Amino acid sequence: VTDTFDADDRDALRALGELGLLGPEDTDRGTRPGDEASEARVRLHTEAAGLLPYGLDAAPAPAALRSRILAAVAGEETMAVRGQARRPPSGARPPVSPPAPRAQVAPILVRRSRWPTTLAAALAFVCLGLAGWLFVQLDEQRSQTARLRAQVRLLDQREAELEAMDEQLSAMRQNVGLMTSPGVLACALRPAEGEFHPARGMLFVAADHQHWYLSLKGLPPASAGQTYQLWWDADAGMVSGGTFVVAPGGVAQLATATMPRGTRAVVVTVEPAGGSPQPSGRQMLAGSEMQRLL
Amino acid sequence: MQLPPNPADPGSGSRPAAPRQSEDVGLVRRIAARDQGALGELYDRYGGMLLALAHRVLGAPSEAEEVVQETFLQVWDKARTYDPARSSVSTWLVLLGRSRAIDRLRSRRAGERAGEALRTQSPKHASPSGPADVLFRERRERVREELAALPLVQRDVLEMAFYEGLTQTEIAERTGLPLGTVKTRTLLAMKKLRTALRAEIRDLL
Repeated sequence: VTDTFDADDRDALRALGELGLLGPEDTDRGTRPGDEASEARVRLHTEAAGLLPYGLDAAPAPAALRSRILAAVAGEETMAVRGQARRPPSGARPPVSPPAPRAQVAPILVRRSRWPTTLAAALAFVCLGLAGWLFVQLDEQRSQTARLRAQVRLLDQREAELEAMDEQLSAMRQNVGLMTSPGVLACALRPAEGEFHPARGMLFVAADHQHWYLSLKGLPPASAGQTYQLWWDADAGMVSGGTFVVAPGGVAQLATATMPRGTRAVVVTVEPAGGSPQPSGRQMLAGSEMQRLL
Repeated sequence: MQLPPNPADPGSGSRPAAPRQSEDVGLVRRIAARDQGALGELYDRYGGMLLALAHRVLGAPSEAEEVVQETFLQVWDKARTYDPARSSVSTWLVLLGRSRAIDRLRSRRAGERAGEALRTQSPKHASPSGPADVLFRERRERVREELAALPLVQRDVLEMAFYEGLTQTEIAERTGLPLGTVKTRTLLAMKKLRTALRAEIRDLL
């Protein structure tokens, strides 16, 4: 494990430590409990680990095992209830039965007890309190779930951004690798004759004459209904290299791993949207002189 | 010249939402209130998966069943301590079950080295039938796909740590890799899995 970690690495380290998959010497480098975003990320790692056994083949749970578990639980409960019923100590005298009541001679005045009503009221009160408590718990649970979902969405978004940046970085590395490779050829693209605009370009062709990278800048945005199209002047004539759009600032960076056989020159024209089979529009840039750089 | 489009995000496709976490939390609360029926329901949901986990760790079916029984008895005793803010019920059960199975495996290893032989008997992906639960089947397929997509070297170290309870040093000794490489691979595997399974994780939350 390297010594340079980002926040995500440190959260993953903490999760791995809590799962017992890494030792304390590594998990000490993880995040500390407390930060809410970090907690959410640690939880995501924990849940990911918790999903691992889903990849195993699971037969239906045996009914016999279910019965054993429930019987064990029922037995435990029974023991607990029995344990509550205290037996008298062995040396103690048995409890003395109360004397039987003598028969009442005088008529008994029957009086309705208030206990049932009181008990029912108390039960209703307890039920109401319990319902209120459950409602509050449920509400808290819902808001916590909503918060976690929002955090997950935010993390997903950040992750997508990072992936896009990673792809851009990878493309840049490839292009730099091509530009600095042995035997690379370079060709400057300038405005065609009679054209006056600030656009310029540079084409780099690898020694295999297949991989290439073209960087353009200063091209104005194509008008509505029009697009830029790249052309190769090759053995087969003018071969289309495809259409493209320019980013703000007139920048375009193009690269592929194929180039027509016998390419002598490269041209950029303005064509109707969708492109043309042959160059027909205004020629913006052109270049034909290949020079070896390295 | 059309630049190549961004690769499609594997986690962005439409999929049936099947959140059961709230139901699971309800079951655990009922268990905490000493409802044996709720424990039975929880077993019906997760017993098969936990049995497969214990079997993968221990190899021996009878020991696996004992571990599952102990796990559910622990759930019965500890249901009050379950905190939904820390993990889903599914993950809580997995971690309880794994912990018990690994403890048993380690105590067994102390006296013998029979784990290798037993592990070869364990039906890693042998049984063609699974629980008739659509959610479980979908989840199983997704987890398998994403595990298969991990580089083999990363998957191996993760599985050795998770299912065999090996320390990073023990994995390094077994594989002959430098300790730092083992740790890095474990970390990378964990991060990739978390990214790849984000849709499944969302279902658990």
